[in-house]
Amino acid sequence: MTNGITYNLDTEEKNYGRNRYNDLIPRGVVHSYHNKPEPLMLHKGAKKMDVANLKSAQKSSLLIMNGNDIDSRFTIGFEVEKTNLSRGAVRVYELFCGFERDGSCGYEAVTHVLPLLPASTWRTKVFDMMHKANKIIDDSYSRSDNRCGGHITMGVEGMSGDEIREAVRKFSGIVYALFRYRFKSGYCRYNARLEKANEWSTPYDERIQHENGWHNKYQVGLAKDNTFEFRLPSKFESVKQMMRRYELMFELLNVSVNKPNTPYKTFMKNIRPLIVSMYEGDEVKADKVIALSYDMQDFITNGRDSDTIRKFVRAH
Amino acid sequence: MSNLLAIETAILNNPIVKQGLQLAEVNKLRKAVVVSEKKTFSDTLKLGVIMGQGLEWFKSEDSQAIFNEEGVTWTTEEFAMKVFGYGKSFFHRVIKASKVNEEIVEKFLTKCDELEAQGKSVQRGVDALIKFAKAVEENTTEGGEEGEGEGDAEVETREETLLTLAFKGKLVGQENNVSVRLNLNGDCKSTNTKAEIELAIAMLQNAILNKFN
Repeated sequence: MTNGITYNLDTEEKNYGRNRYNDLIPRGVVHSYHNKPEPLMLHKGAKKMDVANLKSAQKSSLLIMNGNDIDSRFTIGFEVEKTNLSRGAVRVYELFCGFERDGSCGYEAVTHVLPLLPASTWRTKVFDMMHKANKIIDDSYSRSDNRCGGHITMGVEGMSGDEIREAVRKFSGIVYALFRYRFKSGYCRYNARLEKANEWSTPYDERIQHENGWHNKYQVGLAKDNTFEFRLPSKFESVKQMMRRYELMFELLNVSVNKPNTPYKTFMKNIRPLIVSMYEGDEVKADKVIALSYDMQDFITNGRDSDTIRKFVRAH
Repeated sequence: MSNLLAIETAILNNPIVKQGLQLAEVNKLRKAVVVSEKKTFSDTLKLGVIMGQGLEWFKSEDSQAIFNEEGVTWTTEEFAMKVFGYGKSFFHRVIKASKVNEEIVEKFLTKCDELEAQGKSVQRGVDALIKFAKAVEENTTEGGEEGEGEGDAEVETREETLLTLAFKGKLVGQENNVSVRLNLNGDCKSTNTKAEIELAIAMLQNAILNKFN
């Protein structure tokens, strides 16, 4: 058996990276705000054995053949915000591009650009990186509080951030329901229906009146040039939680991009086991959240008001 | 167990997984001192039973729930290599051999003993057992009752090796290593080309000349 793609720390670029000033800086120390090294593209360079178990239809919709290499069409990145980082834990990790100070919370560890995949050998290798970064991710080592968030950024080859936004908003009700308490935060409540930005040239009476108002950055989900950032997700507290959110984001992006005509009800049925797993087997809690998500989705898609929306989305 | 990621090592330390895969017994059998080919063969069959049970457990819903929860996805090939250290094909052949009827295994071993008593060399391996069992099955008369027209088969003997040549050609920039076996009956076995073998012999001749001059 060949080894397939390997994620390790054996080259200089994995230990050092360029910041926005083009300085070469180490990845294993905490830098000042917005001064961390640039991420590596870890979604490129897999081999056949890494995706051997995927069906043909999955391979054609999720992978890009690049000579002998295989790249992932979907990408994901995580921002792990903490109030404290465990003593001795700040070092180079396969998972993280770097660390920086964060104004809202204290510290932020940001991952490289990761492949976003279904269950596979390749995905196991991604989860292995998370497992090895346990002392940064897990709250029992590196603490967090409610000031901290867990932003998740996604990309799709060939799609702009705005196109991703338009695709995922049809199924994002579940994300709203899971992280409904985060609407309290001023850092992630604007443009609550995930609508497109108004053009400068649009006449005033034709402009979209964005729910909860508009902010260039602090939106529920922010469309950037070629990525889409969910700012709503709450802080990361454990590796398992990160894995479950990775799985959820895969399902969300896959249905949004590859099966956009799927009824929301069918999507909920398909991901129910995952939601139950996110609540550690508590089916009652999971079903409650799934039920809430229907109101959330109706709000996003149709603008429909409800007790759920008044209580969580608009309350602040 | 081979080539494990940290997350895979962690799941193999899960008490439920350890029990489901009978890892203590697996490790014991794999570490067992090979006192003779007979002992290796007998231990291999025992390991085959455990491997078969382990594969069944691995494919069960309960096991898959644990692996999914822990974020580990293995193909059968990976399962075989990472837990038992065997390639997929040999893994399945060992399991198949372990399922051979006890009576047929006994017959096979008896035949091996008889041939060895005659001074012949036999292969007490899973492949030989599978071949023997298949031949017994094919030779069993249709509708035959026990003891009547019971199938029988021969055990393959191994030709005595007279001479072996192993040359690590890759260490000196050659494309291939060289391996040649000359049997007592004059049969020469090798997958190398004539040129590759001649080069190996030339190197050996040079070395001998240098040593004894």
